[in-house]
Amino acid sequence: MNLFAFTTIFAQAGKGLGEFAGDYSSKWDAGTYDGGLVFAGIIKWLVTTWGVPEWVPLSSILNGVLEASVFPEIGALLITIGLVFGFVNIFAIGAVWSERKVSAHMQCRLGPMEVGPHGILQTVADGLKLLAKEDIIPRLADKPLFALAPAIVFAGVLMRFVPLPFGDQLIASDLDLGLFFIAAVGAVEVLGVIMAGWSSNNKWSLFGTIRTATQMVSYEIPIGLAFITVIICSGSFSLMEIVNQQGGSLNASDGYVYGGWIWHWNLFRNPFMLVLSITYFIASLAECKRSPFDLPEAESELVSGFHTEYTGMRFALFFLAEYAAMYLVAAVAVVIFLGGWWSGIYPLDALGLGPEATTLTKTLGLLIKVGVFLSKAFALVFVQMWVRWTLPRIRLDQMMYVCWKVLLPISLVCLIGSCLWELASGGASVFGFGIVVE
Amino acid sequence: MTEAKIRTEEMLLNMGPQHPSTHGVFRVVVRTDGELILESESHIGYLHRCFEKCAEGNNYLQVVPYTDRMDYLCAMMNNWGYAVAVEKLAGIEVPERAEYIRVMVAELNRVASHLLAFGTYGLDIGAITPFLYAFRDRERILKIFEKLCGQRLNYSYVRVGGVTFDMTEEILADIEAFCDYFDPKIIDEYDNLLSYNGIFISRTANVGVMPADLAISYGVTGPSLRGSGVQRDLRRDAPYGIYDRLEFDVPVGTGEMGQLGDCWDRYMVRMREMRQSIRLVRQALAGIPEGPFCDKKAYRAVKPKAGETYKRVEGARGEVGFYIVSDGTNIPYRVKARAPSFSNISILDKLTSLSDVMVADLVAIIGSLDIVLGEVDR
Amino acid sequence: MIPCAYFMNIFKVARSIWIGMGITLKYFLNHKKTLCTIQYPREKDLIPARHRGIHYLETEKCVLCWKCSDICPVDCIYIEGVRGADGPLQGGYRGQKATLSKFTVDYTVCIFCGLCEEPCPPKCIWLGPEFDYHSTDRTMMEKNLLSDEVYTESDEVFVEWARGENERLQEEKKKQKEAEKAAKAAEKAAAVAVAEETPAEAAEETTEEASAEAAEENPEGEGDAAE
Repeated sequence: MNLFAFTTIFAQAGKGLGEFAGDYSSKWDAGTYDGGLVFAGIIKWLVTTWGVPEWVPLSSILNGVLEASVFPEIGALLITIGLVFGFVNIFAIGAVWSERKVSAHMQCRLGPMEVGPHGILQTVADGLKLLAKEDIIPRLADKPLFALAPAIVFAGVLMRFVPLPFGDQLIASDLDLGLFFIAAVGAVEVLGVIMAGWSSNNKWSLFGTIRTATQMVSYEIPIGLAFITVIICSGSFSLMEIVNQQGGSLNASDGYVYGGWIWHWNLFRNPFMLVLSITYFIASLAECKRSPFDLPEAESELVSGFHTEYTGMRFALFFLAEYAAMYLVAAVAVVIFLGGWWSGIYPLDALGLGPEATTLTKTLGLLIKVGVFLSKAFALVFVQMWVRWTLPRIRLDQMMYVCWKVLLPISLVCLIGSCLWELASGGASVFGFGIVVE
Repeated sequence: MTEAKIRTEEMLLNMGPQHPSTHGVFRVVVRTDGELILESESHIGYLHRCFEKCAEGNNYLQVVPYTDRMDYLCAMMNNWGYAVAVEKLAGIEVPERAEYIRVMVAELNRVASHLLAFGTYGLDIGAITPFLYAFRDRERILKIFEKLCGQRLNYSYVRVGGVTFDMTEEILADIEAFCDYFDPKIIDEYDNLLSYNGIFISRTANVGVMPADLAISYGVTGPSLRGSGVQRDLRRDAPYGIYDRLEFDVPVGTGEMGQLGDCWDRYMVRMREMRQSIRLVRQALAGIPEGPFCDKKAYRAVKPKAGETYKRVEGARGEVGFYIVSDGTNIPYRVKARAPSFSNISILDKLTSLSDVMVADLVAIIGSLDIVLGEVDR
Repeated sequence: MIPCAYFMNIFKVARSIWIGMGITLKYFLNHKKTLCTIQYPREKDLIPARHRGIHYLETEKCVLCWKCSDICPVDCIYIEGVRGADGPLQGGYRGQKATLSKFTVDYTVCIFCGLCEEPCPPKCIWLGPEFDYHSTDRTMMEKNLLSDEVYTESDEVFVEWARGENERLQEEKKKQKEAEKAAKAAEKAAAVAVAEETPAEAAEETTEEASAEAAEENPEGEGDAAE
């Protein structure tokens, strides 16, 4: 499945890059910025308005290059990558701190209190410490693989951010096969983890690696089934499209989506979706190796699993990847079940949309949507932490049992049930309100 | 590709001496086939400190601090076991008040020890929060002990002929406050948080099943034996101190979550014993008489006549026995300690060979036996 | 046919997980009330009077009887000196002044069992409240009880601070004790009823102080047993 996915993805990624060449600034001006990036438009606008100043050597040639519309897209691409990377880092820093605080407060402790107010800079200090640490590669390790593994794991997670929106139109690239891309690139992370454990030349790491491979390959299937169900119901792979559909269709006749009420979310689309969202959440915990599925890392059994031998920045990359994956699965859950950036309150959602929208309301609406999206995702991340600090770890055979004998049948039933529901109701939600019927 | 063509190999895995789940410096060499353990071989002795030899060079009073360091998690019971042995040998009468104090501190120490067993067992299974809750409550007990005798783990409190310090009213009030705080509310919370958690049950039920006859033949004692359904508790069967005057039940494993004698049963016996210990402390609190707290004559200059004796008490991990030979001087001729963890750990290799055990199960079995390596190696 | 037990099992596990998560959430929401740690180097817990920490020696009281070094199970106390104020021993040593030239405790060996403080006739050696000791060298672990000197310059600062802190705590205790006495005198009649209803934390604090005071008032009381 994944090999097929890869070929499709590369074709899709090429198409996504091509779309960057489109003229976004005009779309921004027209207020119909479908499937593009705001930053691209802004950059292009900046460059084409002022261009390279006269006193810069070779300015005329540079301006000619710019006018050929090559630079703005590449610049926008770089900026997008920078923004996503920056977001992942800042999120990881915040999430590590908040995980420590959440765990501390659940355990009658205070957690980090020393660096900065309430220890908020503790993770920064720890990160600096990790950067300054000696990079140790075990003598008998397979050095190239050992060095490459953390980068592959991190890249595998970062790549999955490409089709993931952060808010209305705030997306690196709105791939037509977005969900498919996310499911497929997940396999890259497994590869990196296997490389890490195998090349460490450590028996405990090997155990962790085998566990990881077993777990992540297995749990891709319930996740995939959840994706397929959502795709069948929405009729699209694109994350933007899936979210837009959850905005309801209160006044869809003029081509704008104004947002809807909370019952327009996929979660309430049919009763099977409710169950499916839970199976997805459980499987996503396994996918990002969080407790109770933290068998690959299992401190009390395998010491630290596949990253036992890693130190310094290489270890930090694994750490970063784990927290980035936490956000990622939470954000995907928000997109496919929890209505994405729609707050579920119609007047709030409709702000800044439609032909009457001014720049002020547009900006305000965008900010609100970003805030809503992030807070939903963060709430799910909190639940992940909450689960981690409550539950014991399950055993390998039980992990397989949960996947193949509990999550898989339930997901399949939900898939079939959702299809039948869609056929029978013609797309009506549980509450009887219409979703999107065009 | 058919399965026959896949070449598999067994792997020797060295678990310990430095491993988070071996509860100390304990090494198990396991032969694994994937996650399955085919065979395990325990290695002990990393913490050997010549307790028995040291005891031959020190007088009867000086041996007491050494007994602390055997099972450092329930040092009171070790002190007590040594004290009753010497008292029997020298024919020393212990004042009534001292007996009550001994019951009180020993049972509190049993609670502290079981709390640590509960917390670390949760940690072994992967739940971190119960560990910190357990330590929070254990801390209260340790504070009481610190106030009582100045140390938190190595008390040297119960001595030949009585106890070192008298219980003050404040400490008695502290103990009562702890009992009221702890007994129904906190233990129920623990049960809800961990004992009856579905994942925890699935990890521990039917794992490491220890049949009663096997346990007896290996000399397993204490909660680990009672987990197999054997009603054996020295406090009831061979009462020492004032236990024959106090009311308490002996909780045994029932096999309600799986087979009789599995890890969950052993774990649950400890949880239920904590309630019984609190019950005993409450009874001792109600009945504590006024009077002296030690036999002042016998307190320092113990000089038993030539002879030998063996006395045992019910420690938190099983029977703590002391065999003492006296040659009539103030220095024991020979002190032999029977450490419960030493006997309990001996069954580990047998348990791993009885059924299909995975690496994660081995951790669960070691945790459920609740060993203290200081006591195993002495 | 899927047996009913399958769904019952899933339901049971889900329910137990939900109960457990309720407990941790309860703690999370009430974290200010349930907090049970202190910020150690800045806040310090009260140390009970019977605490067995680093040794203190009242040099002028010492009669050089070697009882403490005799009873020590690990032989970590080293004493040298002569009995009598200006010369060698004359007569019995009880009450006789001694001139000490060496009185050290090796903390790499000491197990803080407290046996040394029990047989001392003038009760001049005792284990104090200081428990946070450290050194960068094994040779520094031998503490000279005669001069009370500290190990290094940085340690000196630390110990000075720790002593000041201890003094402050003692003064606070005294103040609280006075306040308590006044309060007790005022409501002597109602005291019995109130004491039973005092919550656990409050009771613990007050008893801790009270026991410390009791020990302060009557330092000989503890040692009675030894004689």
